[in-house]
Amino acid sequence: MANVKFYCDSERCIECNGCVTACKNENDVPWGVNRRRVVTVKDGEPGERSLSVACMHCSDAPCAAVCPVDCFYTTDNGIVLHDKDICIGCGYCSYACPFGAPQFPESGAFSSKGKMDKCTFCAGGPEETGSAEEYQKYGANRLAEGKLPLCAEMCATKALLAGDANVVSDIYRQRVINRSMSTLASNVRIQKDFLGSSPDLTGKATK
Amino acid sequence: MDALKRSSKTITSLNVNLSLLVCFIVIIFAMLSFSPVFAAEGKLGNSNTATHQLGVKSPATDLWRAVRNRDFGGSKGMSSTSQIKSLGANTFINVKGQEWRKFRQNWLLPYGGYFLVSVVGFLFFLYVVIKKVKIPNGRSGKSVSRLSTMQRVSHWFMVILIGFMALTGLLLLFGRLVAIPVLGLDGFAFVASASKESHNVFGPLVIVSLLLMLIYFIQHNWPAKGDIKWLFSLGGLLSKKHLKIGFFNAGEKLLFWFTIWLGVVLSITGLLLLFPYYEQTEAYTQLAIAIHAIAALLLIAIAFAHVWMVVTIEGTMDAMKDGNVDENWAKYHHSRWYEETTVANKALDVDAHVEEMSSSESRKEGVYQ
Repeated sequence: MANVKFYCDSERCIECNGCVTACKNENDVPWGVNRRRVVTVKDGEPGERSLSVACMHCSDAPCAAVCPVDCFYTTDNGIVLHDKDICIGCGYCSYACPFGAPQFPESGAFSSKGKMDKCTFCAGGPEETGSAEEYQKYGANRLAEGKLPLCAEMCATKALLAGDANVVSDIYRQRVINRSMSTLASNVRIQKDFLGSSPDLTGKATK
Repeated sequence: MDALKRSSKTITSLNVNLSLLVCFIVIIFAMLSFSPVFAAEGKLGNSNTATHQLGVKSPATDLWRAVRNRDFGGSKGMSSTSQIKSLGANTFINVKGQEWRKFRQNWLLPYGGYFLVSVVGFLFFLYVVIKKVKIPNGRSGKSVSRLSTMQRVSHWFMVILIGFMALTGLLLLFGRLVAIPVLGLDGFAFVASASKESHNVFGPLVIVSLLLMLIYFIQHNWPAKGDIKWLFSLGGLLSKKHLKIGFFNAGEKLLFWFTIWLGVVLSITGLLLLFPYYEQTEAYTQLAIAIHAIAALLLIAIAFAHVWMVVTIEGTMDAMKDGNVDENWAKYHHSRWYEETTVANKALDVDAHVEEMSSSESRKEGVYQ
């Protein structure tokens, strides 16, 4: 079985929030709950970068470790899912999760936390695959239909990658190599322009 | 073949010569670079400085500093933003999460469990080993009024409430280890859900019970002269003379103040946890859970110790049953209070006799309340 992973390429993400919208629409997520979010640093400044963050489906998931009712399980694909029939909405997973993935719809008279909701890697939940209950509780089960999570499939710049970890890392590695080569080329150009025939010891960028 | 060998020999000898030459050059350069004159020149021609001046660094480095909540750009407060407006959405990675997990899984659960089990085990051991402290000379049959109705009500209100909170809290803390193997996942999910909801709903009542406790018991719990002596003699065990004790001994006073202060800590952290998604409390939620759990475990241990004391010392329970204690119990355990209260009662008796003229009913209640 494949071990699936998300990866967001910070050099490509343009903070369009398309992944957030796609996820919300595909999974019919409750009001006030966003399974995915885009976070930006240095907004409007040079060096601005964005990343799309959701459940990272940890191999050693903190949420599963601290859950007092043991409602989490990991599928053969390495997807961390939870059983909403067992979840009591205590919120411990959200205190332990580094990525802020667990979300809680408000419920009850004092608007306390309802059953936890989080990214399922579009793999549904413990209910029967493709059933109405599964869709109602956990959203779409695209994996069962042979499709990848919609956030990644919708991504306009292909910044958000989802799928088999090996494939994802191969794609990203190729990108890094391409970027490094172009950076190296531009560096050589810059050094040539700035240093000219200066007696630099590197011996690389002299004319 | 011979020619080839010979040529390879010459090559090796050439290699040896070359490597010797290289070594020599390296040593010369090393010596030169250590001498201060050449070192200064070397700095001038440093290639690293040149590239640094060009400002070639990965544009994304600040991103990864921000991801790990580390300092970047000189200012400590990094600003990351998000179009999603929920609490904590601006943070890439909550680095405290793993610390909290470690605290809960590696520290609180094992050591909290050992602590509770060993306290209860130790008290049970004491209960088995130590003989019950009988009332000297047996029960006299005469009773002395000790606790008012409201004192007893506030006590039992707190017992029921804190017992319930302790039970539901312990279920949430240790249920996964203890109850899931018994009840199964689905069965425990129901119990835990009920525990969580009722723990939240009845929690604020603890504040009421603490206030009641304060109002009705604080008068007897101010520190008094003999308290230090009582503590140092371990409740009279080590002292030769029998200690004269007022309404409460120092141990009972400690129990009272521990209950009150732990109750205050539990109430404050509990209220924070009831509203975890108000912005002000978000940063403190993990800390609040830790403090809440530790304070709760301490209070539970103290409550067990209290129960053991009451069970061990005969006649103590009477006070909480109907408010009256046996005269011999009072003489032995709280002699100063007994003297005070009998003097007061005698004075009351005189009044009562006078009052008896008007109504015979009021005497029974009037004297012994």
